[in-house]
Amino acid sequence: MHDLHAHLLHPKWYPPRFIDALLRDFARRQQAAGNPKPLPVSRQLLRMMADDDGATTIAMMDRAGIEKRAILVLDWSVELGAAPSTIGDIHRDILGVCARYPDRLVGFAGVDPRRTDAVEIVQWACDELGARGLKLHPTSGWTLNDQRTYEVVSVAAERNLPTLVHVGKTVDVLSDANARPAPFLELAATFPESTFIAGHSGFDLWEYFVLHAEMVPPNVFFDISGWQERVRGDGQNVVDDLRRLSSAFPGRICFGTDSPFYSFNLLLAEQRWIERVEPVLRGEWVRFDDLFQHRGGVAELQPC
Amino acid sequence: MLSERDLIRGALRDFIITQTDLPDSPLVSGDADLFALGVMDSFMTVSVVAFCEERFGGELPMVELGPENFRSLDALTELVARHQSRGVEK
Repeated sequence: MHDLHAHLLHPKWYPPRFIDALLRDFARRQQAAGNPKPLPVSRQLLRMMADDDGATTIAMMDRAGIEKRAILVLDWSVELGAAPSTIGDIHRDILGVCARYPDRLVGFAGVDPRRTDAVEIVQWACDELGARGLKLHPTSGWTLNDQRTYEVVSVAAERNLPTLVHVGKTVDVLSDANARPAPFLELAATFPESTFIAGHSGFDLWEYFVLHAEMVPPNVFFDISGWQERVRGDGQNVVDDLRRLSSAFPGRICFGTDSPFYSFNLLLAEQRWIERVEPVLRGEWVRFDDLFQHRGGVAELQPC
Repeated sequence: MLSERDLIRGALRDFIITQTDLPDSPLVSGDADLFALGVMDSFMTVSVVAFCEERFGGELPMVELGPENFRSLDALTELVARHQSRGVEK
């Protein structure tokens, strides 16, 4: 399997407000999953999720049968206050890990377009650090149809690199107001020669894409990371939704985990997610090469 | 006289029963499959790790947090026994 949506987590790369929100989100999901007496687990949870050298991630991928994984940089320092590391160091660290595992990890740059040097950061990440895509997380005070966003996306587009956009819900200190399907589709239509991926397929907003399929340009793909949280009961609801999404957009569905945010780096969670969804589209899941070959893009995935 | 492993197993059983509101009987057997019982998921795994490290000390290595070590009370007991840094209070 190719996992088109995952991250590395370490507290030095994220604002403390995000880490606090992450822990609150865990407690919320734990209760939603039916645990009536959640324990304080912050210390252990952060230790389990933290991986700043890729060793835990690669070991997990080996055991779970994940051949390649996209590692997406996230930049919330503008919105939530500074992370301990600068955005330059975050890219250097995370893309550096990807460079140590060139056959397994594919790094994506990530910036808040409100940074005055956002374009330069993405150029540097792509040209010097080996980023092979761009991640946008429009859950802060900027929009997908902002001129600054277009300028950042242009950097990826000029290099035939895909742009993955978070679509749908987020943690409580951020907002999904600017992360809806419609502005995402407008952005993708603005760059028809570039590949775009709807992160999480919008979570519970996924059906918007199916119901408005005529508005979805052919350069749009979908990843199902985070759908672990949408599982109800025996999970047939997710299987049914995945079949509908795939029927509407055959050959354009990407497997994703959003690890470690849903797996906590636990093999059990990774294995169960793969076992649940892999058979639904067996042999039809998008692979990295599909993204890079799309519409005349670069023919070959270069090591990151 | 209960052994250290018996005490660990008992503490784990009490914790899981308290967390899940399951009746005691299915868990009495140390080799009962916790996955088949629907007891163990990723959230419960995190809780068990937190409980074990607070109660028994030590740190459970990530590489040992695989399903094989969380499948039964016996397997969990062995995992904790390998890494605990302090004895169990009777």
